[in-house]
Amino acid sequence: MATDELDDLHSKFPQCETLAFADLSTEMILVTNSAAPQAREALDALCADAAKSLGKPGTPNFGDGESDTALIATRDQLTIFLRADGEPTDVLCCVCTPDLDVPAFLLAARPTLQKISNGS
Amino acid sequence: MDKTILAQKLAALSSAGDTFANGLRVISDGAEPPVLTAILSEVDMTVLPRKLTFKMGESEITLVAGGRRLRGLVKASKDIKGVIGHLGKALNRDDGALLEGLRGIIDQFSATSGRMTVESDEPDAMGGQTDAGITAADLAEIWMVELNSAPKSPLQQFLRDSADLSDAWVVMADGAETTHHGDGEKLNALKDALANKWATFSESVDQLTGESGIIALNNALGDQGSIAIVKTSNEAAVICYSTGNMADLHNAWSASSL
Repeated sequence: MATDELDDLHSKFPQCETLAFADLSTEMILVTNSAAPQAREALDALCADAAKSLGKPGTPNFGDGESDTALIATRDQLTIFLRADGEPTDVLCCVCTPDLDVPAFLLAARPTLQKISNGS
Repeated sequence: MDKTILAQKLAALSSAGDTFANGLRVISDGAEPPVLTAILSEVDMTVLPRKLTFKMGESEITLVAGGRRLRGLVKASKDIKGVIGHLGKALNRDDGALLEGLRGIIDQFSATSGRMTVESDEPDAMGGQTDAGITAADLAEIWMVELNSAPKSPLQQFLRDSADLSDAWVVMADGAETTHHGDGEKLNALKDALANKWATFSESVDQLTGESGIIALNNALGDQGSIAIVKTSNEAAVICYSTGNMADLHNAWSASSL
């Protein structure tokens, strides 16, 4: 199940408190990890931020390329959006603390996204 | 000394922003400040006789300075041509050929790409000639170089420190470009993206609620690479970077004082 995949990723990277699988075409969060603390409104806002950052398929936010990874960092929070390979409306939204090991997380998160996106 | 120049020198001397590569102080990223300006600034801050070795990539030149004067050239790497007639010769304003030749040698050196470092040692030649040479200020005038450039903003210092991670960048303040740097093709792609998509991208920038933040978008420039924006309270830098550098760029920002 998608929740299990997200919980497994969360257990490996507890600095990532919210992991949410979303559909950019409808701008809806479809599933989150079990311990995600965000309220529905905050999740909706997170999905809207993913659409702004990555851009919807065919309408890149910036430049002409379709970005597959967006990283947004302030001193208090790190947010990462990943777009699935082959399904450009499927995205993983990740809200993390700034001390996250970004390279290690990206290596683990992308296969998780692909598994959920592929329905496997 | 003019009070403005004095203030700039004091600011430079008290700067906590010096960076080092292999134990050597980095004084230029190869473009900012310009190499000749960086060399003359080092001469201008050298009071006691010193041998200053400047290195960029595999190239290097060694000059002797003292009394805030450049005394002469004592060594250069083999890739630099036309050196023999200049080694150990004290500069003076009346020897135009020597001055022109040294400028040509420095131009060859500055054509090398990469960061420039400086190493300061006791001089083993030309050190005792207390009145020899030409002041850095006079050389700046002769060579038409701006010696006292404005101090760098923290954001520009960040760009200099992380130069290895970016291919091109544009700095903006109050909605207008203030400076740019980098590979011509990528810089053009970056400027095109800024001209065409700034309105939508600025919506993303609004997500950075604090005084400082970074957004990185992998592959946003297609074949030309990726785009990041680093924001401070009064400036923003839009950076073109290679996709593999995203995590390092984020780490550099995290470690910075921005």
